[in-house]
Amino acid sequence: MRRINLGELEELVLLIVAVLNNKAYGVAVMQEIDRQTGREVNISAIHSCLRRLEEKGYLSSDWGKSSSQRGGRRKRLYTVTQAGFKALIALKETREKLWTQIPQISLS
Amino acid sequence: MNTAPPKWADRFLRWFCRPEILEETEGDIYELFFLRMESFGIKRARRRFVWDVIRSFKPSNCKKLTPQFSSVMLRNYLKIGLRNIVKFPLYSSINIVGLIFGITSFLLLLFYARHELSYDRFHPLFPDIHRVVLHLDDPNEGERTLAITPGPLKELVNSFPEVVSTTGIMRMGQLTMEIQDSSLATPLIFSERDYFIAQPNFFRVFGFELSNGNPDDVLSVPNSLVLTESTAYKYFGNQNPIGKAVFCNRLGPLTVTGIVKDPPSTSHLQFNFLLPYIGFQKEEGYARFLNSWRSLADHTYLVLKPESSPGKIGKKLTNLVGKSVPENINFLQASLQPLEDIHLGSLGIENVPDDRPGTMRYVFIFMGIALFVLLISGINYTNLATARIFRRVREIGVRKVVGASKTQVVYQFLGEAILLVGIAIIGALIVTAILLPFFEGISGQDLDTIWAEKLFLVGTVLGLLLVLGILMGGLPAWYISQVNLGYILKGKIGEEVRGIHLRSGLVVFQFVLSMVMIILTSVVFLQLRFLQHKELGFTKDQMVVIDINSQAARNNFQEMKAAFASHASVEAVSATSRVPGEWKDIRQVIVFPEGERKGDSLKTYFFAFDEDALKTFEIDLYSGSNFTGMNKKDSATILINERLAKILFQKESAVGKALWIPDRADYPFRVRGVIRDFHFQSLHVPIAPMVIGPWDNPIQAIDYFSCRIHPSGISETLEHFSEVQETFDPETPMEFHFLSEQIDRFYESEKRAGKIFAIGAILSIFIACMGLFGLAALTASQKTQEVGIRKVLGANTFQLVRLLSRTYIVQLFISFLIASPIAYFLINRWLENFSYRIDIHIGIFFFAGAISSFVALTTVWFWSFRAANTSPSITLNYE
Repeated sequence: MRRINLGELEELVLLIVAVLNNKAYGVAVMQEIDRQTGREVNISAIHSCLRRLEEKGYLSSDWGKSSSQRGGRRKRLYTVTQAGFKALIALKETREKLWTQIPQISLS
Repeated sequence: MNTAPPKWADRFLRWFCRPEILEETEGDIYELFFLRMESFGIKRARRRFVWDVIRSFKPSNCKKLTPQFSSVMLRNYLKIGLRNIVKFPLYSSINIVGLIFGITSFLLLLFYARHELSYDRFHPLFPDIHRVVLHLDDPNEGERTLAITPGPLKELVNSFPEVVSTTGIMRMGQLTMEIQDSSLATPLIFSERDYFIAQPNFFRVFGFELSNGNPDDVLSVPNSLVLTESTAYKYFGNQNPIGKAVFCNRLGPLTVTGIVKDPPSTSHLQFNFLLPYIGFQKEEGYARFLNSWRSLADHTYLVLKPESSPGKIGKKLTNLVGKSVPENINFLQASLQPLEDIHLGSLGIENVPDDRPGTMRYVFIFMGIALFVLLISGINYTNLATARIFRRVREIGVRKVVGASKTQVVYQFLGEAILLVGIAIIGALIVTAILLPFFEGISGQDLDTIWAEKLFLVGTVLGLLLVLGILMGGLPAWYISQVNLGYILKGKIGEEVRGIHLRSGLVVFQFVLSMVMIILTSVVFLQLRFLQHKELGFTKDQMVVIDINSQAARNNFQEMKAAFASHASVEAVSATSRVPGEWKDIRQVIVFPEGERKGDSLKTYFFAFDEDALKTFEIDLYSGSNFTGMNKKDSATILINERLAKILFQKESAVGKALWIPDRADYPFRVRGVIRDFHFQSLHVPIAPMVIGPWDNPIQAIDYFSCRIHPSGISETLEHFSEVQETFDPETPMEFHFLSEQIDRFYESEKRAGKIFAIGAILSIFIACMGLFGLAALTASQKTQEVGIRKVLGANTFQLVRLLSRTYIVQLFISFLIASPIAYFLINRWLENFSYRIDIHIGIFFFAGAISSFVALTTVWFWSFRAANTSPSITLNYE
């Protein structure tokens, strides 16, 4: 299997795009990250992340509607591609596999 | 109200952003802007908009650099630039050395200015802290501005809703601190003046950092004190000072409860230790003083709520204080002085606790000098680069033929200038680091904290690179971009000289600046010499002044005088309230001549003299008689100076007349003598009228012994003095100073300015001459053939030298004509600070003109003679 190369923020953004299901664009992703994790990320970092993910083939994008709230500019809506889902699943599986191998630990 | 995001930021975004991603980025940032406007308000939304744009400004988002600047090309530019520097070592070193000098002096003076402007900014609350200033019309002393307030003011101000908190500090005279150390036979004794009595909330208002102790309660324990780190070291060495005992002559035993870091050099409050207010409030005598509207007790600082108006609070304070002060104090108004203005804005305010207040004026003057020197060194580059442009024409021609655009050529030349500035900046930073300790000595400021301000340094370096680089390189870049390709291709690329007039103009500009600075420097030094040698009307040399710091000394002053005088090398001793050339506040009183109690009141300075004062200071008695030393005969009699006698009695004899000092005594004083005027204040001010009372007078007690001593064996004489002090006043260590040194302090800031002027003047003439040296070398080399032909035709060396240096002589002459009136205007302004000043002698101008012309022409002649003496067989040989 091809090695999956995802940064920490990239993974988070990818997940959030999946969560937002067809409504994911820059500002929405940024707000959702803040809401879900309390993490404040600058919009430019989100943009870089989205573009990197698209380059890697995990996201695809299309133009959405424009609104006056955006000074008449269109949104760029992102959706997770098959490859993206595969990567997420692969990551999750790797994690779970690793978790089962950790000897009994107590977190309390 | 503007509800749009900042236009410039949007424009910037559109400028740098790749078109593919612009719409998305812009749209998202806009959306965030409108969202934020709703929840945080327009101001913050606009700020965040700018921030988002800046954050988006990263290489991955930028348009691809237009192909005209490929990296190969930039590398080629760099290579050519460096080659040009290496290939012409003379010109490069003139440029680089000049720039290093220019940038170094700019940096040093910039650091100085920054230090002056950054006073008291280290307090976290500094924007909200203000000092209360009172304006009074004192019946005795006339109109005054004071930074000291009556004790009860604080409590009242505290009730203002705009005031968050208030704190006061008090000063008291000299204290003697005694430290018992078991390892030493005798206790350590220190005499201290620099300390404050501070309220418990001192550390909550000011940002002084405690290195040991709790800022909230360290000043709330009676009989304690807080030492600075260096005082703690002075008292206790490396031992832990907390809990140690210090015995104070006026306050008894005290315990060290806290250690505060030494106040930063940018603090207007400088102290060795702090005493808690508490102890004083509990003592009855002090409590009465602190609770009276009559007494000016402490310096009050307020912390205002952000956004409240200091002007309004000043008015409220004026009302409040006006109602409370006793009627005989003619209170005019109260105002608030922002903490950040205190250091540079306290001129004319009396009773300040400030350490060495500065003035904005010298900050401006020094920055001016810094810019001048920088400008002169920058002009060198411009001149040499434009004059040598023909050397680059072939290169540029080829570049253009291959397809270079005008912009590319311009950028290439600007880049070369910036490269050179960059090299010079690296050199200048090293030189600055080496020179900083010396400069600290000259400027009297602690400046090495500047290295910690990375952001400021980086900003300065980048600013210099860009601004200086573009200013210097702009002109040559423009010239070269104008070169006509046709001429180049036709082979007409000879020594086309461009911008000759502009270049002469710049040379003239350089020399105008240099000459102005030379003239100013000479005047400053002449005036300082004049001040030092001016006959003051009394003897200041070989005069030791000893403070009277205790009642014990004051009560036995006659015995002490006799004891001081018993040493063979003591010529005379006297006791006075203040000494001539006094730098502290001199008491002022209002006097009336007999019969005019309500008529002309006159503000005069008051001194108390004993019978030996005139003899000790060698002040001449003009008429009448001196004090006798016998109380009965001396009481209710006074001496006045000629100035007062002339004002009150015109030509009549003043001796025997009566004067009233109504606020101080309800009986008249008889004038027993008139003394010759002497300069009891600095020469900045004219001689004022003065009254001298006997030592036992109702106005002011004696405070100083003055001893005129023989110049030989000074250390033994001082030894003797301190033995006498020990005998009569064992509690207090002797405090003394030499009067002449004290008087010199009047002119400290002028002396400092003089030194900086001198350095600026020397640097500017030196750098300007380096530029001239380069230009002359160029002219000489361009004219080698002409010189050769003239030589063959019979011209002699003198004629040739004249030919080669004629333009420079004209330029220097024009510079002199322009510089003289400018300098005349400036020195007149400066000399206005002094009541006693030198006349502006025309010779100074000629001196400055001659010096700079001589130096300049010597550098020019070096090349002229060389060219004139080269054999035509070399210059005309074309094979």
